[in-house]
Amino acid sequence: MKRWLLGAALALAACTSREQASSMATTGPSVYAVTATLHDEHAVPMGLDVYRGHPVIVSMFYGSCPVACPLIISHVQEVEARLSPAARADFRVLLVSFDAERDTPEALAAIARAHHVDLARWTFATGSDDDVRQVAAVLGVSYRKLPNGTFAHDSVITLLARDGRPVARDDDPVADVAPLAAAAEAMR
Amino acid sequence: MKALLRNVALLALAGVASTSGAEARETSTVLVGAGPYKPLFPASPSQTEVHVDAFRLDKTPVTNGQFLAFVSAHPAWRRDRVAGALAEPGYLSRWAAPDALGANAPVDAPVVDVSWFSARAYCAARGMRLPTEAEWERAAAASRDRADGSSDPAWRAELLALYSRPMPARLPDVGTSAPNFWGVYDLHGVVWEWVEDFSAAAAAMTSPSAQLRFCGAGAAGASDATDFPAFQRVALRSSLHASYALHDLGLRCAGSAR
Amino acid sequence: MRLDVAFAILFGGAAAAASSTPFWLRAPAPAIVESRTEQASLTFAPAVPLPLHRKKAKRVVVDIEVKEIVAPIAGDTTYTFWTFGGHVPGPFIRVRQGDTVELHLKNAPENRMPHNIDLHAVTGPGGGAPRTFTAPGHQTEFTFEALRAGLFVYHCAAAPVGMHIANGMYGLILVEPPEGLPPVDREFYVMQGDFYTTGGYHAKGLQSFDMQKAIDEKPTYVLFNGAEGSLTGANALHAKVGDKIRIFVGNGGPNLVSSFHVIGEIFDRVYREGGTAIDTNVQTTLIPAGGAAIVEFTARVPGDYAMVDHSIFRAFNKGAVGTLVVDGPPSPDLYSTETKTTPYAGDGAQAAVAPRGDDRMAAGARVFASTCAACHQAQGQGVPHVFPPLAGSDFLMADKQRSIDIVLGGLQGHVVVRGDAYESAMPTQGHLTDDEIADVLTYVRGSLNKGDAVSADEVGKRRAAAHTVTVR
Repeated sequence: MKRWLLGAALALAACTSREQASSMATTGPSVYAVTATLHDEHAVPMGLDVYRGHPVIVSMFYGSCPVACPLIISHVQEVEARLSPAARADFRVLLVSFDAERDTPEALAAIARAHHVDLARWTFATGSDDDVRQVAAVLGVSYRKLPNGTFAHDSVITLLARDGRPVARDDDPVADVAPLAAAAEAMR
Repeated sequence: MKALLRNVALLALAGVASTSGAEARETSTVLVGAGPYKPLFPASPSQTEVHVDAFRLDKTPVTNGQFLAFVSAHPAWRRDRVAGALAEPGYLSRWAAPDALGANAPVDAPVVDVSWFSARAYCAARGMRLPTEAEWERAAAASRDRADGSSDPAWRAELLALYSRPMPARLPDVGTSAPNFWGVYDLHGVVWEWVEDFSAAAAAMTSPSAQLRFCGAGAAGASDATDFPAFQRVALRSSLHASYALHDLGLRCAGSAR
Repeated sequence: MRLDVAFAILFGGAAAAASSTPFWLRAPAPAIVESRTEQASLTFAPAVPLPLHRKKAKRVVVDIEVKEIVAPIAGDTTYTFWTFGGHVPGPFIRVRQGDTVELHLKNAPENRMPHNIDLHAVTGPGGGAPRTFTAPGHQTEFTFEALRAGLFVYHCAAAPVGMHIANGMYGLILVEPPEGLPPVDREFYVMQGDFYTTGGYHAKGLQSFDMQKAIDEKPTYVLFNGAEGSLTGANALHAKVGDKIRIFVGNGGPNLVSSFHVIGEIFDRVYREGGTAIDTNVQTTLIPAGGAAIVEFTARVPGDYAMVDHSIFRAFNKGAVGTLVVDGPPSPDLYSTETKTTPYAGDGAQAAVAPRGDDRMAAGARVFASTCAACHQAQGQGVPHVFPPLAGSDFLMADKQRSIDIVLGGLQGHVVVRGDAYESAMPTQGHLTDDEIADVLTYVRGSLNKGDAVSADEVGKRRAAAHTVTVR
């Protein structure tokens, strides 16, 4: 049983009318409708749509997470590794932390370094509780802060089209990355 | 202490008028006193009780009339203009028009078919916010004469019966049922209500076997397997996404105790 | 590559986690896949979809809508049922081993609760429940392969699970073996469930679910197909003599195990617990809560056959009874066509006791001889100044009701019979039955006097009124 959702493979992107997206029920309305403010590893403020115009994978994590979050990050890296150089050049990654208290800009920068990501195309960010909640809500990520400062959350990875519409979603960080990579490649 | 809180609540009953329209009825809030709340799914086995600070809560759910005034003043939230990610197609679908209520949306009945995003925006426009799950549950734990009715089996049976009733074709006007200990109306059996951290319910109900999918899960199981009304509320919350608009899901607003 | 083929290949059938079905999922199936896809035909109890007669596995689409409804549970009692498809039990799903089942679960917008489905025919976490958790006003889609043949329960598994099941959210899915089931003449769908209401059995009006009774496993109703009378009277099942009958019997629970029995029948074959092992010549079969069985028998003798849970108080006091009416010619060799009754005196007595109403005089004479003659003498002539005569007794015949009361309650005091006075005490003969008293008085009044009979009814009435006879 497949665990990932493939929306219209982006082969269809050109055929799908934007009017349809706004008047019919789809999984695809752009998440950039949310006006949350986040800040990155350099404390630079930005919106959820920082990578508008690019295919982007968005997910949520927190720095002190022992298992699932490193898995998320490596899962995304696997997807990236499968892309052709042209697709990879266009490809972006936004990882939003639940934990603004501990994941300060310095901490975020350290995480980025630890995973050897290309910071020209990856952003680690966080925001106020209110902003983080909006981001989680629009991505369909469930989470709950626990008394010891950690978070219970699901490991959802979402691939967004250039205009912010979700086109693929994966909720299992050990799943086969081929479908997600194929979808990202198709957006080239 | 209870009597004192009650008197404070009575004295402090200020009409917090809706800021978004002259015709909307005034919204009264009450003070819900600080106290404990026992989550159905404790975040950790050792923390079976959570302290909730005192806060203000709307006495009644937000009505169609009040929400219409909000939409008129903030047309970005009209159903024909709202962004798809912020409200699904059923948003305000029972209204006769994007800017008119019509027969299926009586002016003083609770507004329904509203998404979490639109609910938050409504409260923000009044300088308020949605209650947290803990706050809402704290207010809702009260029976008619006690702050905490959870140890009263008759109260629990009454809740079960209320929740069992099918949805009426026309929702009753707000404030027509008996108020609870805090003076809050319609918390049970009228409409479900959005809370700020609704997604915590889905995170809370995950089984330990889903460790990989849910980082940090493995919280204690249910604290009270006989609290079926609480199960129903948590189950409903766990089925929601922020853009959902349900025929029996509305909202009320909360604010700080001041 | 054609775009619609791309759809079919790329689209894996998993559900959108948020909101309702995207427009491209609602498009008609592309032609290249259509011939291998079919819409399942679903039926509601007691009807069963026709056998499939398919040689190959297919993709089968099953559409189910969850509806929360108020409906009668018994007589003047109603209940809020949560249902698959608007009925308890939910629809009967019939697929073939190897089929890929694409299940669409819709939660009606006017419902209050989220719902999902766990099918016991599914191999995989929750039987499909996590993939079908649906808020009101939304639908989900879930696909599984039917790996094993058998008769399986499905039910809602949304929290609190016991309540969802107790409110009627269960049904059956049959996965036929590749060769199908042996042909029969009639197939029926019966599903047992236990129900817990705040009011007692047959308390009128809308009843609520009683959680404590459910936890204590003390049901108010135990029913077939969700309502008392669902299989009796006008709703009885029908068959003809000679029919091979197969009943798919499920037990949704939530709590009780069923001892399923058809009174007057032996199950020729039972697919034990709905699996593929077959028992023969079974009288009563156990059906676990959350389990099922297939029973088969041939109707041979016409008449009414009651289907029961043989934990028998459930059948007679909680509603767990249904009827199968078999029409056709009788078979006297198999089962008598009439009832023969003769009296029996007890203690193996050989004396043929005359049937009632035939020789009451003789019966009365026998009672007289054994009970009255000791004092009143064999011909009823009495003993002068000691025991009054009964033969030719003006005192006795003057008041019929009094004469009954005397036998019932005895007599003390001064009486005058045929001019003679007697001062005696007659003990009560109330230990005699109404019939015996009627017979002996009929004999005394008719044979020893010239008077009319006394009936057992009259005696019974006087006994109930408990008159005592007093004389000056």
